[in-house]
Amino acid sequence: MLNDAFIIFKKELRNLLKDRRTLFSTFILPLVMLPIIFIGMGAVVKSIEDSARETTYKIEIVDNKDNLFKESLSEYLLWEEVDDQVSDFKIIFPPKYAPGSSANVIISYDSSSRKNQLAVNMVSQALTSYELEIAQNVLSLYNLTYQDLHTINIVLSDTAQEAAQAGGSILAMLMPYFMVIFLFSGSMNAGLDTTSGEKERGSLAVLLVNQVSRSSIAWGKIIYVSVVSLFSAIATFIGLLIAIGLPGGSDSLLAGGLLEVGFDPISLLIIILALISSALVSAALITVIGCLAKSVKEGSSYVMPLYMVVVIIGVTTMYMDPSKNTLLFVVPIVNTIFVLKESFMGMYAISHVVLTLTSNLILAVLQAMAVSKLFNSERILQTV
Amino acid sequence: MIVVENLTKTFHSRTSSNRAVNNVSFTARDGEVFGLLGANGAGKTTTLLTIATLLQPDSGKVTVDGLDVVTDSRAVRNKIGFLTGEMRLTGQLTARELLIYFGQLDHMDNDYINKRMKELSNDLELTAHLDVPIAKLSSGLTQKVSIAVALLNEPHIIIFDEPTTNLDVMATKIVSDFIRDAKDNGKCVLLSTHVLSDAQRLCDRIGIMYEGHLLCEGPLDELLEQYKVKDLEQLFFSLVSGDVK
Repeated sequence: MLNDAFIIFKKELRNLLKDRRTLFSTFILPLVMLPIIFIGMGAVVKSIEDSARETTYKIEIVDNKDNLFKESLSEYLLWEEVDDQVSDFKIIFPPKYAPGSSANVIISYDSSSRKNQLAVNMVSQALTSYELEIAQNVLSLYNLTYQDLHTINIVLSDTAQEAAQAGGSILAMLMPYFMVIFLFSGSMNAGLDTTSGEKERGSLAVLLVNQVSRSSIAWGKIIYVSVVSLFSAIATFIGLLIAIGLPGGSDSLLAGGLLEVGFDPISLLIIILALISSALVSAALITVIGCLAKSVKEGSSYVMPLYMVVVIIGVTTMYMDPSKNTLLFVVPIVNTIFVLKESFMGMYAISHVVLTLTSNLILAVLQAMAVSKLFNSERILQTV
Repeated sequence: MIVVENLTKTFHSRTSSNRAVNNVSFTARDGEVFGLLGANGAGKTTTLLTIATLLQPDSGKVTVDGLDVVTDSRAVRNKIGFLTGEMRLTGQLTARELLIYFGQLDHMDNDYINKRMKELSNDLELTAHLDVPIAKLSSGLTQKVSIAVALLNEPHIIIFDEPTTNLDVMATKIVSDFIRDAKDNGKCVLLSTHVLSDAQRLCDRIGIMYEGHLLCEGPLDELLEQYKVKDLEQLFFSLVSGDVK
């Protein structure tokens, strides 16, 4: 049986590898998408920041003629004082404000511009700096410095494992989401094409009158779809590593130091096993749907709601800590996300891994049996 | 030889049942082309899929060279070559790769596959196109590849379901020539079509199906004489309209 399944797998894979368009959407797109997003967004953010720094802002200062404040403002941004309605910002001190007195200072600005949002931060920093200068001047009258009032120094000590700190936790948040999404979407095209697509093309009947057993056909197709979805997920992983390794890739969007996160061999092995088991589940599920659907169009209409469920699971678990709830490790997709999170943070639990792999493999085998049964039934030939 | 005796097949859905084939009997002999004629939905494809072991009869019996299609389905599949007009080979694999693939699935050894590939590509004038991706072949050449796939196992029984559907004139001629050659070589060819001119040109005997029933069966000349009509078209419309019985 395995020999025949391997023949089918080889033929499907060879066909895919020769098809440039499918190859692009399955492997190349996941590989380049994240670097393009990271570089694109990084460039946009940098351009806005540069523009915010280089712009000369028109600022109206109300009820404060103190030169110290104006000097402080000049340290943070380029600006010119205006008195009319054309100002970008209004910094409104209370009437009769005297430097050193307690005051609510209002910064009036248009928040719809990202550039203004960045500039208002600079204005806020200038105000803080101004306040510090005033405080320093007052304290100097009593031979004190601001440091004399600063008696407690807060030091944070991170007790998480090294891999779980900063970079690791960001990877643990992002990677499971992207990998599971691409794992599922990678199964979609290949799975529907090799089942309901073959029905539509009339080539399934020719395959079924062959000597090959229906179980071999089922397994050959499931293994093919699994491999495609697995490589799609791996391409996503490599894409993210490229993205965070590119100059300006992660710096503008994520915390630095992601590349310094290393995996121990066991974590890497767990990641690979979890992905393989999850790929089998996704592939078998799509193959079942493809067998039930009369056409690729009908199959797509069944698969899309499931894809949305996977996206929702990915988004809702993105900010969640790895769960202590053992039951979640028998739920497909959810279990893979949590095992990936644990592995990326270097805090995997063997019981969770075993539960995840066992649950996924049992589900995949049950679905493969369902596929085999469908290939043995007359329903497989229904196209109308 | 194909023997169909009192074949009945019903499809059930949640809301209704459709008796696609109702008590149909006929025999397709070796060295002849038997044509099943009928409009869409007459039950031709259901009959052919049952003979090809892809559907199971509700009642009745179907044998291929004496083998029962239900109990000896695997042995039956070894004897038949099946081609459907709906089949659209596509993709980036070449004809050579596709023939090797189907040969391996049929558990043929590589020497036999290569021998058959050579014979079929010579017979069907495919040699120059063996290494071209299927997606780049014309419809006629693609149909030739489909025929080669169906005949790779040197079948004694050839079942063609609407083989000229969607084909242009040149591709239709290729299929017609092939059917004549197969008959001359002593094969049993069972053909379903709704194209009356194809049936008239190619078939030694015909059966006309309508709404699951086989209305008549026999050599065309005898049927024309029996029903006192001048041609197949008149016979067909007279039978389905109930003008003759």
